[in-house]
Amino acid sequence: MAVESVEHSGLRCFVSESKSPTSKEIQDDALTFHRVLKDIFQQAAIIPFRFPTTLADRSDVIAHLREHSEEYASTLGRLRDLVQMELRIQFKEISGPQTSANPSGTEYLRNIQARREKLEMVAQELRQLGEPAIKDWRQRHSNDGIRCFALIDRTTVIDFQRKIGNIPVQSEFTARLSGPWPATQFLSEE
Amino acid sequence: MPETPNNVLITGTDPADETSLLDILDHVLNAGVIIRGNLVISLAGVDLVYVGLDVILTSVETAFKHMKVEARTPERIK
Repeated sequence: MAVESVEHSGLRCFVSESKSPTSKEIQDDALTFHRVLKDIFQQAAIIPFRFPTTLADRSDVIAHLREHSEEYASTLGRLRDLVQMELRIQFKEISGPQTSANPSGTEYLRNIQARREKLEMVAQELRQLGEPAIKDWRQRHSNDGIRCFALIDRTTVIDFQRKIGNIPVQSEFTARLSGPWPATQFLSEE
Repeated sequence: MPETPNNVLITGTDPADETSLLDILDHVLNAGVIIRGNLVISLAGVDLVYVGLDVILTSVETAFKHMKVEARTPERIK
């Protein structure tokens, strides 16, 4: 489907007409959506909408831009030359060592807490080694480990990948760096 | 004998790479601006439920598979 641009208040929004897709089409649409984002993101900072975001018509797109133009312009200015790299750190063993066959509730929670602290320590080590390229950092625990988001200058991506890729991680963990992504975790200032 | 450390794995954003494909789907479905609009899910021409757009996102595949989904803006839903 053709991608059109809608301009308003100094912002340009890319849209395409939507129909109710089939289950198979929706994955293809998601990938097409990603490709469009990627192409534009290679040239400029973007604020992606979650897929699928649907509005009734062009006038609703303009109304949305009008309502949020100041906020979006400010965010785009702040993130102009920045990209997001994502670091996922996980334990190789999913369940982790148990202190006994049937741990009590307290023991189980202590075990979870200890694992979270270990993940945070690895994240901190990697963050420190990635400095000073990192302009901002956010992290959060997920079901399978910890997700860390580093905001870096667009021009330093290759160096950052090389630097992080050469860092040894303790054998009980796996760590994976992906990106560059649009800086979606940094849309709001903390 | 202690295991040797491993290095951080580097992946890009190319859908041809299976690991990246999962990351891409995760990003397009879970990251980005959410418009606080509403969706009306209709079945056989009858509006059934009103759900926040951010809620429908996680189950959109199922919703599209079984139902006709019509987008409306909040102003149009009274």
